[in-house]
Amino acid sequence: MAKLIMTADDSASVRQMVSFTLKQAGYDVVEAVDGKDALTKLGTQKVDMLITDLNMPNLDGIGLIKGVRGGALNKFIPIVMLTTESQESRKAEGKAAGATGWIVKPFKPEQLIAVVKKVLG
Amino acid sequence: MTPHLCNQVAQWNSCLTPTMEVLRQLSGCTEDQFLELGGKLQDFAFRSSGISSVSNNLVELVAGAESNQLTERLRNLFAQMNSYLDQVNTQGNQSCSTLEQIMVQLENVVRPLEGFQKMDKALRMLSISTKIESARLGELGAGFTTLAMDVEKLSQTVSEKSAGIMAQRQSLAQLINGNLQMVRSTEEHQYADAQKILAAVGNNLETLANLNATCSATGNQVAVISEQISSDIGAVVASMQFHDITRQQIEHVIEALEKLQQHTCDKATPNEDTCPALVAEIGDICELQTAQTRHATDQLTKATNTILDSLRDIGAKQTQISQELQQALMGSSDSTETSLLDTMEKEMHRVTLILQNCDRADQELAAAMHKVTSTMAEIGGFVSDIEAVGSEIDLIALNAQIKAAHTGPQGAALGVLAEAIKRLSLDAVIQTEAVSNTLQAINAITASIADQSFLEVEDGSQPVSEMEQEARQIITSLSGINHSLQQQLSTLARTAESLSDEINQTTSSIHVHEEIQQQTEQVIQALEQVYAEARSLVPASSEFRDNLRHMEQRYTMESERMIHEMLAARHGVQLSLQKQQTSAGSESEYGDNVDLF
Repeated sequence: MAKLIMTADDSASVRQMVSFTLKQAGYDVVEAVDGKDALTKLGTQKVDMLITDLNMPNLDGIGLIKGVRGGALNKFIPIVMLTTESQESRKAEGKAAGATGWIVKPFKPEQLIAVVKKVLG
Repeated sequence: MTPHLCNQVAQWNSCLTPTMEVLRQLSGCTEDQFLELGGKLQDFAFRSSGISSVSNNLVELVAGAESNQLTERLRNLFAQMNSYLDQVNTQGNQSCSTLEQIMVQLENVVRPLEGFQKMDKALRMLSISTKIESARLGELGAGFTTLAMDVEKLSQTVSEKSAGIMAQRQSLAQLINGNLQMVRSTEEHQYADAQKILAAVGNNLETLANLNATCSATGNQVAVISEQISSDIGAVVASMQFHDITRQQIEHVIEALEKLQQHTCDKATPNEDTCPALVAEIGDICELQTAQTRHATDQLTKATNTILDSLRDIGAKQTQISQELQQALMGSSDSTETSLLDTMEKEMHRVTLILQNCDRADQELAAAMHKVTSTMAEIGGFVSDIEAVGSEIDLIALNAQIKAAHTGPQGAALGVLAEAIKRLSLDAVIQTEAVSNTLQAINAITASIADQSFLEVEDGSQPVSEMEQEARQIITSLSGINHSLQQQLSTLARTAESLSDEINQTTSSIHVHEEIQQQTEQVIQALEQVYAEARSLVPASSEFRDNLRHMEQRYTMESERMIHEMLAARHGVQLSLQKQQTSAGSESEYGDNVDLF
């Protein structure tokens, strides 16, 4: 059975490209339009991995990571930040919140898939 | 001068409002267009993948295991057919020679048979003479009447048997002549045609082997092109994200301008102390945001051009795949409807027909040989009968001699007749031996080929029926491959053309970058005008240079910091914002933009 990955981003076109890339590689994808939407969905749906943007309305990426790590269903899943932010301070913040990795946009499809394969084992 | 500056600040401030409005519209207006483009990209990628898949199928069809196996089977069949035809040719020549020898021997039967006819006449004459002599003798010659009747019967038997042999000889001669013509005609036309076709099949086999090699090479080429297409799709996916990146950059510009506007509004009544600093700040911010806006627009334009180029490249490469496969598979054929496999299929049909004709000729020849053998047996029966007649004549002659001796001097004439009958018995033996020897010679000739049939050739290779069956199976496989080939090539060409057309339509309808560039140009001009006017009134301050050091904190993107650094460098401030220390570890494995914690 294909692994299920959530992509959380307030940009529909970014979600579209992430979904397209993952689906081409054989993964199933569920989308969330912001951190709050993602956290709500992750409360009831088990996924294998989360790829999230940092700056989103309602709840940002750091808040989302903290929410997921503090929850139960998806507490231990790999979470990769996919953002335009490249500041070390922000990365450190993400790492401290429980992020597994950090990808600065734009990503190349093969990069994203390599990272997904790596963190999903 | 200060009131003028203050008025100018107010004027610039009001100028920024429409500029920011344009930027706000820009930051949200392209999402739908990029989403639609993303949808099309997915469709193109899916169809492109389908084309690559069909291309690989075609290569596999022509250069794959099944095709190679078929080529090998064809090669074997070709060798067997060649061997068979060589053997047929040799045996045809042998058969002709044998039949010609039989014809010569049949001619040899004619003279002894003529001897039998003379014997028949002599016997009849002797019978009449015996009857006459018997009548002259009266009572004394009474026993000779029976003798005369026996002699007459013998003459009839000799006549019938020799006529039977003659009729069989003629029938055999006709049969052999007919078969000789048939064998020679088969040799002249069928075998020659078969050799010609087999030579063509041999050439086509080589062409097929070359085609397999070409297709394998094309397969590698298809794989390379598919990789390039995959890379093109990757480039589009990466470039599509610049829509979001540019949106954020424009939002950052708006944010900076909003703050500037807020700042100037807060100082609603600038005095002569604060006004120059405010002018300098306006110049600083507008210069910086001009550079950021220009960079964002250039980046989006570049990304959109990459999208357009990559999409066009995908269409062109799929057309290239289709054309290369078309060229490789159809070769130099004038008609796109006729492929090498088409030609080979037709040739195999012709070879099968010729083999069937050869088989039929072979069966006819075998039947003729059986007929020769059975006729020879019948002739042998006649010869035995004539041999028996010879013995009977001998006995009758002996009986006549004894009776003539008993009759005394009056039966002397009958004694002469008895002598004549005795001589005839010797003639009968000689003629019978002559016919018998000829028949034995014919039997010896026919015995060597009587059981020989082309259906079972000496070296144990496949008989014609098996070769026909193999040819039919190969034709069926060739036909299947050919049908599939034509169908898939046609589908491939259609799909590639339609994809290319649609990509061209899509790319020619993309103007989002031009529209954005046009609108940002207005923004840039407005900002450039503000900062040029501001700079002309108050040059860049040392305070600005200090500000540059902490303003970078506002940026979230590497490219924004790079622009900031370049501008700082222009004002003599050295910043090292681009090369931030990256987290240790994985950037080399996944790229500079990836960190795994």
